[in-house]
Amino acid sequence: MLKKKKTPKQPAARGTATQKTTGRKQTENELRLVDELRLKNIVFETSAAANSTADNQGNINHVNAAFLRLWGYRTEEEAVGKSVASFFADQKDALPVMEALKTTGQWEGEFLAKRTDGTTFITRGSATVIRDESGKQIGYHSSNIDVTGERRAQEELREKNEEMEAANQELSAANEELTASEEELKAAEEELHVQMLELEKSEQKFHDTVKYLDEGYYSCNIDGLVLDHNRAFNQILGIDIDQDMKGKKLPDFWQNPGDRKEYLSKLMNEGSIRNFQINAKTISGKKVFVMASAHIVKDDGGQPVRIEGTFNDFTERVRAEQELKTSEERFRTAAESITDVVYEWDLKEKLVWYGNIDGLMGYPANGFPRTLAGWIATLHPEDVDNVGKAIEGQLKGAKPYAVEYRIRKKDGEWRWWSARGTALRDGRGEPYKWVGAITDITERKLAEQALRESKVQLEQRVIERTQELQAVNKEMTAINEELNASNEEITAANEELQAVQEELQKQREEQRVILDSVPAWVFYKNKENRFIRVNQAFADVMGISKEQLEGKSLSDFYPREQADAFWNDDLKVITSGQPKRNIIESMDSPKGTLWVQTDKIPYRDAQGNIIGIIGFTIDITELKKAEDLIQQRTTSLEASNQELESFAYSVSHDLRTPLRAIDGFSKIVIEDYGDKLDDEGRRLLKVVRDNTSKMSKLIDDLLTYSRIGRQEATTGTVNMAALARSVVDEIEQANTGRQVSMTIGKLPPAAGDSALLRQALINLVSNSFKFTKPKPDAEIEIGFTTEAGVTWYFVKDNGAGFDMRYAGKLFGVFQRLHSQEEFEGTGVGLAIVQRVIHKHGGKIRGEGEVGKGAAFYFTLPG
Amino acid sequence: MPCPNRITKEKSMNYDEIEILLVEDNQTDAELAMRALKKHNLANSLYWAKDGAEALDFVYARGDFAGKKLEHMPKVILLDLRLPKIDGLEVLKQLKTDEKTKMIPVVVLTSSKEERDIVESYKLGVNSFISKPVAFEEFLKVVSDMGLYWLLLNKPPR
Repeated sequence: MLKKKKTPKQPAARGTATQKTTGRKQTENELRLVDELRLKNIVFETSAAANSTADNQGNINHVNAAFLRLWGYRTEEEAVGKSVASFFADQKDALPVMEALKTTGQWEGEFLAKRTDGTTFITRGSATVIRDESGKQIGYHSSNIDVTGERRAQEELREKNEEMEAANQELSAANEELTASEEELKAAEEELHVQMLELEKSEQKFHDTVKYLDEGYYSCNIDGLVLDHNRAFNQILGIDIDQDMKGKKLPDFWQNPGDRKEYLSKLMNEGSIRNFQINAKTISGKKVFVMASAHIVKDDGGQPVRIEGTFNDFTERVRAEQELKTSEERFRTAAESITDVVYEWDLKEKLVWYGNIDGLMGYPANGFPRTLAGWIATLHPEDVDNVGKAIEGQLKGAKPYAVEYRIRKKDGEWRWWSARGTALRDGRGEPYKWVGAITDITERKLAEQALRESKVQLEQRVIERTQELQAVNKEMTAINEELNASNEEITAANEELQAVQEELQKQREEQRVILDSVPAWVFYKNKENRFIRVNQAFADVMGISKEQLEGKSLSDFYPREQADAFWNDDLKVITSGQPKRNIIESMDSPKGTLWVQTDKIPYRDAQGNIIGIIGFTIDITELKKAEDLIQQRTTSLEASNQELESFAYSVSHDLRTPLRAIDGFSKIVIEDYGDKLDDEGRRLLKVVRDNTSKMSKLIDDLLTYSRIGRQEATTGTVNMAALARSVVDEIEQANTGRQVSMTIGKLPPAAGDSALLRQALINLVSNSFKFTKPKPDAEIEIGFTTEAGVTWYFVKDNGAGFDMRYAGKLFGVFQRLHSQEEFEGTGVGLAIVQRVIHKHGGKIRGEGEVGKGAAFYFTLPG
Repeated sequence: MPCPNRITKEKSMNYDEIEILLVEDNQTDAELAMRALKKHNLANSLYWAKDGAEALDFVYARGDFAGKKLEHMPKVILLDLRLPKIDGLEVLKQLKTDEKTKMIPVVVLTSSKEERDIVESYKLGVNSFISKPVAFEEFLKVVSDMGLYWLLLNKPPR
């Protein structure tokens, strides 16, 4: 509160100045008294404060110039006679003043004052009872100064403080909002964690956003290892902005281990913590003040997996608050230290100070300069000119002397003084002395300065924080929008995924059914020689379940060499990328040794990289057995064919030679020794030669029959009519003298081997010629008939015919239905015919009746 | 059975006068053939080789025939196919692939009627292929006709 201030000596009332002048000493005393009174009057008059005196009734009887300025009077006469009660804007304020004066003789304080024009101002003042030498009350003295400006500054300061408080609350609300949004963000993030690629994208977005937030963000595991952090995290903790702290221990930023303990126990117990104030330090040890929030992220099982936290640096704000507080303190001190010092100057070198000038200026008693030069030396150099001009203005032009200047204290501190002064002039108007008063206004100056600064600072901060808030809000909105968009995308992707998965599941099931149903072994193997999947057939043959087989390699079932052999094939496919087909190999299985045929093709992923092989194996054991059997039979058939061939060759070559010898030498006997043989002897030799001839014929027929069996039939279009004509011509030539009625029909062409068909026709037509020999009106017809769309060629005659009971023997080799005496023949002719027809894929049948003729029908491919 | 190894009675026969080289392993066939030729006086300058090796030695004046003039060639070679030591087709092949001997007329005279023998012989360059008839009269006729043709009618290069 207000500091006690020096009360000026009470001035003497008017009219008492020249009382009692007794003796020299008395005269001296009186003179001194007069001087002192005059001095007091001067002080009264020239003080910067509004001074007034009033009589015991409270009516004003004297005021100074400052009083007139303060209350708005033009002249002293206007003020004189007014009641001091008129000082108060509110009369109630006057009562405590009167009470204090009555009881203690003095009062100090503030009140709302009213000027003559009705305007009000705040004044701080003091009032004292004036007493005469005998102690009797003769009036009141009052001194006031206007403190409206100071009060207004204080008020403004208070308002600014409130504004700042409001801004802080706004900030805090925004922080909470931020934290809340952040929680939403984290919840969404957790949701995202179970998703796939989209998740990572939005996480990256989030990360990028967080990265540039001013708020420090970090995520760490339970052991305090940093999992993630943003740039602000580094900045606040004094770490190089680009340093990656991931995987490192969370730095120890606690100034006070107790804080840490409290923080952690609260976080662990409650799962989260909000706006915890921490006296922290950066890694370089700089003290910072942070507000930290954090929460524990738990897994599905409720086990804590990591801590996510944020914190703000409030160091600057706290400092600003501190500064404000300091300036308030200064202001208060300034307000308290208003004081006046009165001085006197002889217009030469001597200065006299009234008041505790030495104490104020930090000097020992009488230490402050008492000379003009000494005083000027303490003036601020920048103010010396101003002050000099003001003094000159007063001395030469009687301009009011009212200046503010800086003056140095003993310890070097500059103080602001507000100074007023008046030159006293003699009868001729010449100044002979100067009196004045100073007021220390340093505190006011400083308060004003601080106010100005803090006002600017505050406004700046409010603007900055508003901008920051707007930016944060904007970012949050953007993040939310992104999150919403991401969520929608994820939902859409999930639906799609689900549909795809269902379809995939369906396809898998279909595939499994197909794979398990095919009568082959299907298997997928990876590059590490392990079965990825096999079908049921494969599992069955291995005698274990599919699940047991999958993941195993063949070396789990086979000796190393055998398994390696299979694997080598796989490797070739994998390295070359070329399928390997029709690998035929044997393998052991619980079912015995199996022969298998395998196709191996590269197993590629969607990018075309070979990731293994797909195998497709067929059990060809039975086939192999059949093939082996066929191979054996073919071999033995080939051998017997070979034998037959050499047999036939032998017959054709070697058998004929002795026959020729028998015949030849029989003939030589007849030629050379015929005259020595009788008829019977010659007949017998003829029988030998006839039989060699028959045997030769028999050998020829048999060779023909055998050759037809071995010979491949060539296929071409055969003009059957022309062929028949040619055959008939040939046979007629060999049977000249025979009268036979020949009929050849318009035979349709056939597909076949013309040489073989010629042989068949020759045999058939020869037979007809032979068996019609006894008939005088022999008839032979070569024609065709159509039965059920099939063409039957036939050779029909009216010859000896045959008994249908023996029809089954017609086409057998050496089968004869007639005696050699009736009709010559080897019994091979029809067998050859049948063989030719069968060789062409045709059919043959014979019809006949004894004595009436025979007919042979055959078909050929058209 | 007395077997005439050579038609010519003289052991010291002159190989350089041989006009017919008969290559035949079967004695009776050889005898019948020579009888047929003899009827037409065609067997006087005939040499009978009993296998393929002997036939080649004769032609190339080797071994027993070292004194024979290499440049003298028979007017015709009657060649059976189934022969001991060196087969008839092999003999034919050697004769027909050698510049010195390829112009000698070679007639295959065999019991075989097999198509493959005929085709193979012609591929190797045979001049004629004759299948021996079993009936003796036919045989005589075929052999004598053939002998007359090659020795009298045919004009070989000199």
